[in-house]
Amino acid sequence: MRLAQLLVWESDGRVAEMLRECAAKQQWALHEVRQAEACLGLLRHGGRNVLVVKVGRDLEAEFTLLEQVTRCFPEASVVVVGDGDNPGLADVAWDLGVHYVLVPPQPRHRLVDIVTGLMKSPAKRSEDES
Amino acid sequence: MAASPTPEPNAERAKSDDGLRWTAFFQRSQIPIFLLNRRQQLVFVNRAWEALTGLPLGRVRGSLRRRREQRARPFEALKPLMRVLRPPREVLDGQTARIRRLSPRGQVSRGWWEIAFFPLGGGDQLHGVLGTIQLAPLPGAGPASPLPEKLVNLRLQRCHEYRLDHLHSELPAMQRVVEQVRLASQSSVPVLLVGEPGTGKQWVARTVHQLSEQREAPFVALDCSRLPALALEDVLLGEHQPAQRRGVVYLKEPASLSRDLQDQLCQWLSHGEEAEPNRWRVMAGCSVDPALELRAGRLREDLYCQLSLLTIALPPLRERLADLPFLTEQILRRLHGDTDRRITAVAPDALDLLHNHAWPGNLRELHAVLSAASRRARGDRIGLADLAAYLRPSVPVPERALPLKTLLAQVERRLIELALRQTKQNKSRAAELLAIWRPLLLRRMKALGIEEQA
Repeated sequence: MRLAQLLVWESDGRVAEMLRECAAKQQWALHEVRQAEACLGLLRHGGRNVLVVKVGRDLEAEFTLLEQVTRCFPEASVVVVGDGDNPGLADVAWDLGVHYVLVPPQPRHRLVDIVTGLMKSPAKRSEDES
Repeated sequence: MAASPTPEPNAERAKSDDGLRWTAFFQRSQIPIFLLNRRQQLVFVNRAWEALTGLPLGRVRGSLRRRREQRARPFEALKPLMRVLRPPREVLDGQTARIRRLSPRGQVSRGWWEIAFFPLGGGDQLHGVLGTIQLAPLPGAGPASPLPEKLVNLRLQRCHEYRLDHLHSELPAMQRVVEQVRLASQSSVPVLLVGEPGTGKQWVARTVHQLSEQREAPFVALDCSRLPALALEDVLLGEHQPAQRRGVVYLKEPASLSRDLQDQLCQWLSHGEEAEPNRWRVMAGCSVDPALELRAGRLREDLYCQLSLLTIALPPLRERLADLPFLTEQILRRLHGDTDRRITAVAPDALDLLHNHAWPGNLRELHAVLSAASRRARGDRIGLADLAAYLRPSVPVPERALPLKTLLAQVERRLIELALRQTKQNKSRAAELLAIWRPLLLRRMKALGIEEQA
């Protein structure tokens, strides 16, 4: 069975550090990506993928990646982490179809819970369960 | 037995004097201050707090924790305020915390509060929590940096994909959907979309939004079955709303929300637009029949009534196979950019294969199939060999004709043999297993030449 993949796009490694312990415990393959093609290549493997993108350093590259991922890989879950200075960025991210935008005043440690939740398979309930 | 020592009257008086001094000190402060006891009930507020909130202590005393027995309207109206004043978990563990929360709607003007919580107590015993409130500037409230033009264009391009002509179909059920989308886009009532997983509920919801007057405001889609409750609460209940403008919040599987959140959402929806002009429009998508969710107790009936003011039912893909050419063209156009080549079409024999598939995953499955196939394709169109193997029929076509009667006899023989093996040659039980009379089983065994085994 293919390992679930946790992809992190950022410049300073902090988000990856925050998620490393959880990824190891849950046996997710954690990839720190800095090139769009590498990120898309990993997503093409299929399986359960969560991509965390920290925005603010190179907005054009970051949002171009978000646009491409949400369009071509709608099954991947995407979380954007920002610093809250420009609420318009959150609007664009939501409209592109990301699964969550985490900005202050929300605490950063909530990211672990969000990623863990998104790694779950979507709840499937059938008529048999009623 | 010696009597317990009575407290010294002077000590009691000193304690009382200290209390009065502290009270007077807090009352003189310009900073709004509140005091919670260890049960998180409000026991003291100063004049600055009353001026900020417009609420005197007598009205709010003891009301921070929800009390099920209190159903009075004034208490219900205070709930948004009480939620904002709730201390975070670390404070209950003895740590100070400073947190920003959006001010509650209703009695106070909109803005951010920076609330500092100070636990009171010694050792492991928490006696209470002291809180102060400062008005804080809205994050990004100053002149925000304009968005780069490319980002604005990305957003516009994506939003333009949600168009009515993308819902074109020959199927009457889909034509009804188009009419309902038009209707929904002209109002702001909640919309409930119902359909199997992968039928495009969120796509249709986004189309409604793009056709409506609020298209400039964001569309926030929340997966209620996977996101943690606190993250959902932040968006739904106003602690973290993008950009202070009307937008849409789309709830995927609202029956997955906790009971508490469903309760709060229901109350929020019932307040109506007149009370809160700049509020979310709510849409929801259910992949399980809401009637089943109601029967199972997973979805509150009153919340369902609020959400289903306009219900749009989406048919599964297997009922709209006539739309496959149009749908594949649309999907391939969207996928352009993931490969080096532009794949524009699907070959006729490949399209036939797609027609023969049941599509249990609906449009989502079709997207995945075309996405994988477009990466395998060598030319500018997808051929039969590019499609996933599981789409091809597993039963090989026989090289010579096989009469149906012979085929059916072979199948019947095999089933009887299996039933007899399973029941250890007990013909009565085998007949029961096959749901036929025992005499019929015996006749068929004789006709097919199946010998009884010891």
